[in-house]
Amino acid sequence: MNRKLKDAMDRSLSGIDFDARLSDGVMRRVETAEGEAGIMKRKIAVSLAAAIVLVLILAAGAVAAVYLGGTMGVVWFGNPVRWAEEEPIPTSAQTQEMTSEDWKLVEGLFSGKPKDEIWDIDYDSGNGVMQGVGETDVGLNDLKKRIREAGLPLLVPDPPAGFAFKSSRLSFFIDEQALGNVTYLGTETPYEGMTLRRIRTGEDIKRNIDSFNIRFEDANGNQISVTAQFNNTQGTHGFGAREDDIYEPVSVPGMEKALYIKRTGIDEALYLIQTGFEPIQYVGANDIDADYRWGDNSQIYDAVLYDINSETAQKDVLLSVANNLK
Amino acid sequence: MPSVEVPHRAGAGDIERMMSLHGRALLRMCYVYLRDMALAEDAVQDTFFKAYLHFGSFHGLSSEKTWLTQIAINTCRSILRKPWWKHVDRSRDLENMPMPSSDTAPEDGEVLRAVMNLAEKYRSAVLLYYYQELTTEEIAKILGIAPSTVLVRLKRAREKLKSQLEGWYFDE
Repeated sequence: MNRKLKDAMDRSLSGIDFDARLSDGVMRRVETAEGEAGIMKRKIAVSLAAAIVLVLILAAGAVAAVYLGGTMGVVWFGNPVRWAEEEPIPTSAQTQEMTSEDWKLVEGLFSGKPKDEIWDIDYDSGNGVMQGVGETDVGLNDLKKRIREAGLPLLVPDPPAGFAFKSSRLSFFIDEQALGNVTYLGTETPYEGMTLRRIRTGEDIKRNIDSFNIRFEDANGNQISVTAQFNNTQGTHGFGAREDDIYEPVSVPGMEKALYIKRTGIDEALYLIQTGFEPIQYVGANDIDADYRWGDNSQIYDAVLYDINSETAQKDVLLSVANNLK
Repeated sequence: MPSVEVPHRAGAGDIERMMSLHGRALLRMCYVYLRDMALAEDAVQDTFFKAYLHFGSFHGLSSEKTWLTQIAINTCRSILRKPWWKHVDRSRDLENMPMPSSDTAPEDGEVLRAVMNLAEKYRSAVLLYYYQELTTEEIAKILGIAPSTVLVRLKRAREKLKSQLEGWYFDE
């Protein structure tokens, strides 16, 4: 993630500008205040309330945040929750200033990454970023074939009525078999305070689909996004929501849980969790080094989390996609 | 009764210059932060008016952009803390937002949506770091937290965004 984030946001927000209407509004208040300032200079007293406001404004930079109390969300059964504010993790590591210049360096590095390598960049402060092996625009039939041949429990949707396949993106995990063709290339220090770990993978990693994202599109450009991601049931599963959002648990065949959320003015989403398959053992790229042996710090996938969402399609369409996962 | 010295205020030219240079970015930042266009417009206008009132408190220890961003973020936070907040129609008017330019890709909306869906503490960190391109030290001062906490929040925000922006986070 880098300047792409800012650029993408600016493109989406390009219709928003600080126009003459807004600047005129400010100047009207300034002119009014100029008139009042003349009066104030002739007056002697300042009200207590105004003094408090003035102090608060001047001290704005020093005031610590006071939150309402936690982050709003909703869990699988549709119960709203407010998670407690997390305490920042104390660290004794020397803080390295992360600047946008640092991310420009990272972006520059990643532009030269070979497609078969995983690059893991860590800063001394503990911050880090990883870019793995991916694949795009794999067709639905090809995707289903690869999942079937690999014996993976991932379920693939068909496009709902009126929609067609538009694009796909895949990512991959390292299992014991793929580990046999993984080569740890060592670490480098491309810049001060930055460590780059390089791992070369074999072509067989593409058998282990870790996640996919598929986009369907209709003739009017409306899109439905379907993401499937291997997961772990021990993790906290809840979803961000505001108090005025609509959320309800629903039933989808083959899924342990399903939750529908309508985020007013944003989108409608359907979250599903699939379990009941043989757990899959894998190793995270950040655990691999020259001495790594299979079994050390290996982790387990025992669930698949599906996210079906659209800014335009409604609940019934999303449910039709969910009910046709196979 | 004692006399009160009126704080040094900016001139009209100063405010117009600041609005010209920083108005667009601050308005967009406030919109993403508050997720409401009307409130964002109020917040950014309040920001410049406060800057006019307290120009004398800006001692040049930070950049003008950082100073204005600090005022804007605190103004937004004040809005979110108002007790009437819960009762105001805060529906995000993405549909009513002025249409973006024609070179917008569908993924851009995905990015914006993902950022707006972040919890406030992560959203503010992402906006200040990636959108306003401030340093972690500057962000720490604005938010009143330690620089290490800024790093933690950015890391967690990236993890949350990564899961939603997988297709754009990793290159093929």
